[in-house]
Amino acid sequence: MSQSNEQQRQRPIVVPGEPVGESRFYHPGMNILKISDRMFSTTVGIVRVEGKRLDVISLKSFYQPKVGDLVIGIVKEPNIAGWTVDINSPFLAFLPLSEYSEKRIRLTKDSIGRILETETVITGVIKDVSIFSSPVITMKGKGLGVVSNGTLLNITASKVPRLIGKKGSMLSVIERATGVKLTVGQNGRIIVHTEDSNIVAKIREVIGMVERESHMYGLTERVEALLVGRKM
Amino acid sequence: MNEKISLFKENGKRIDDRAPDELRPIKIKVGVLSNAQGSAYIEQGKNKILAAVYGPKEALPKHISLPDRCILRCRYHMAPFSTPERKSPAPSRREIELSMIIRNALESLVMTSLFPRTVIDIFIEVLQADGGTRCAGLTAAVLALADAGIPLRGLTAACAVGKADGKVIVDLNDLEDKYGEADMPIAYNPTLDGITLLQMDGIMSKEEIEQALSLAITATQKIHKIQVEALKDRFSVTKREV
Amino acid sequence: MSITEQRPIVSKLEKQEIYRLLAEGKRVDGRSLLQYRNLDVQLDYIEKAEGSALVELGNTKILAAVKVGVALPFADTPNEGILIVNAELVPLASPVFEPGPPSEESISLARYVDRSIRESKAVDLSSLCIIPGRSVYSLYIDLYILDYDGNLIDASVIASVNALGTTKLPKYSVEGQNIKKLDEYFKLELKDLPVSITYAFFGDKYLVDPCLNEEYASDFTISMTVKSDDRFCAIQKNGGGMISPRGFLELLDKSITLGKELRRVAYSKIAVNG
Repeated sequence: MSQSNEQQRQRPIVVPGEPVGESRFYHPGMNILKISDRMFSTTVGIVRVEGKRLDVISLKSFYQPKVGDLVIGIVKEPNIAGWTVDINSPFLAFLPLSEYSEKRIRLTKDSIGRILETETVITGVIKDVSIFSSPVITMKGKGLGVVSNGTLLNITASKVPRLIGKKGSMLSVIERATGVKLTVGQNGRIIVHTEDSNIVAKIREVIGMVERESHMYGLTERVEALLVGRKM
Repeated sequence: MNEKISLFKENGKRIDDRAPDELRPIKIKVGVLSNAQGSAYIEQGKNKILAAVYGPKEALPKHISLPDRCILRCRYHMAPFSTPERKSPAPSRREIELSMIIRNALESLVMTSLFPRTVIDIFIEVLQADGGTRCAGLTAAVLALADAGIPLRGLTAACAVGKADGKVIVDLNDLEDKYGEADMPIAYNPTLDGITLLQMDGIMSKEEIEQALSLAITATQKIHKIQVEALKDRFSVTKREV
Repeated sequence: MSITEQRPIVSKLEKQEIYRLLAEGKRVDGRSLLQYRNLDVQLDYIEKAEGSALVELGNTKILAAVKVGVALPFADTPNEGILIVNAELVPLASPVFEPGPPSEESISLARYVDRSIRESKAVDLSSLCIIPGRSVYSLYIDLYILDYDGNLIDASVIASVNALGTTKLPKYSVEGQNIKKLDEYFKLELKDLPVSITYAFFGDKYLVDPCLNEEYASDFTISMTVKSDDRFCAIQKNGGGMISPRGFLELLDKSITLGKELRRVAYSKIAVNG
């Protein structure tokens, strides 16, 4: 088989209710419904087997916050104890005043609304997730904070790992080829640290390709080709 | 009711030339709307129906939310121009009942315990009605849910069976629905071997219901195949655009 | 929009008891799985209505009244009388019944009763025509749920049919295109005696005539209306959950047997013609 045929091959897509394996051979992982010893997919996705664990990686899903996730949020509303922040998830997150900065804030001088205005873009980390209250985020930490410059782009949350690639391989291909840094939030938001419209257009194209072809073999090579303008 | 209308031709075919167990042509496309998290469009005979899904999102006002699962909100609605006589856009008693019946059918399909305190909105808009709209609408709504990336216990396909001119038939069109003897809409999940929607009106004997149910299972399995193809089509990149 | 219902909480212990007993073929109130509660029917309860019946099925209490009028027939059925069923979940009957526009439960209940009566042809609507295309009798059946202890559907069908069985219609004289009400009445003839049988499901186990706690603890219910000739004229699954095709078919024979028994008890007070 020629190299390019191999690259064009698509990983088989499974749909909800499709049998994906038997539990005497695999342990059920993500997006699996187990009925007696049979395992079915619960989502449209790609089967991934790692050791004995069988997952279905969803081709489209929404963001479900996990502690430790880097997210890109949009400040929605200030209130008495902090800010509600849109993190592209079923729930609004909460950024408490105490998680805003290492520095002390004196409320006598600045009202909360003026410290972080509505619609401000921030990078934060999910600090706490509970089923009783909103996920809590913190802006304390290296590299976290307000983002005033750059361009905000979106991708389906379940495709973020593909955009980053194994050990960051895909991301470094993109950064190397464009010479621009990217901050990728687990919640499907991306900050491209440039306002150069040509570069942004190129990166948009790359994201579109990842979005469409995340389940194809040889995606990293095709992305690389796209970035350097090579025909494949 | 006008009993004189004949629903079978002399050659044993139905008024639209179908065999008793034959479905109307079905076309399904998934991912047809830009704003909805998930969407699907179905044509079944002259039915034209859109389904859209928004969510899961925070259930507001808070008192409607449930602590251990997500809730579903469903609206089945017929456009004013979908029927021969203009239909008032205000929801009729029939539409209110069908919204509930369709929601009931989806409650066991959606893995609701994965998203406590959230709500999923399901909208079904009948643009043109030709009999069997609740079933075709449900068939499309299930695909819109899958398209939205919401985990599901398999897929559910729906189809009406019934009786016209003394014969048990599948996938009733508007005339057969109106002038036939019975109509039995059924939704079936082949993965779980479960009926999730079941209604009947009109008159059928026990033997006729048994026969109709077996036709319904076969018909929904056929529709299920079309659902699977449509979903895979949506996410396939067979023709590369670069 | 139809929203996932918020059921009142039934404690785990109560649910466990229902399931435990179910496995032994028993129920909390001592009934067997396929046994109805005591049924009491009182005819002609509302004198101002042309027909009425008060039905008590255990603690569930439903009043059905028939009001008769004269109306313009529907365009597509110029020779037929009009039958309309409405159900009121009266707030005094239960904390879950709220005042306001009809809920989806009440609409769905009324529509099921409507189908049970209409499709069984219990009332011959073509006998209710006075002047074709111009004047026909209208029968409004109003169901008043006065106390709610489960299984509204079966009790509502019984109440409606009994109320129809007592209904007397005023006679009209026809002079050209005009009609005149006479001081004479005739009895509405019932052509069929439909009964609905409702099953509540718990996994693959089921029981009939659920009381309220059983209804709340169940996964879903299935109602089937059986005509006097053992054919079916309405079926509806209510609530989430699913039933296997085999499980559903099993109910058909059961409903025919239970239907015969229930029909005998439920309609012993009204005479049948035709």
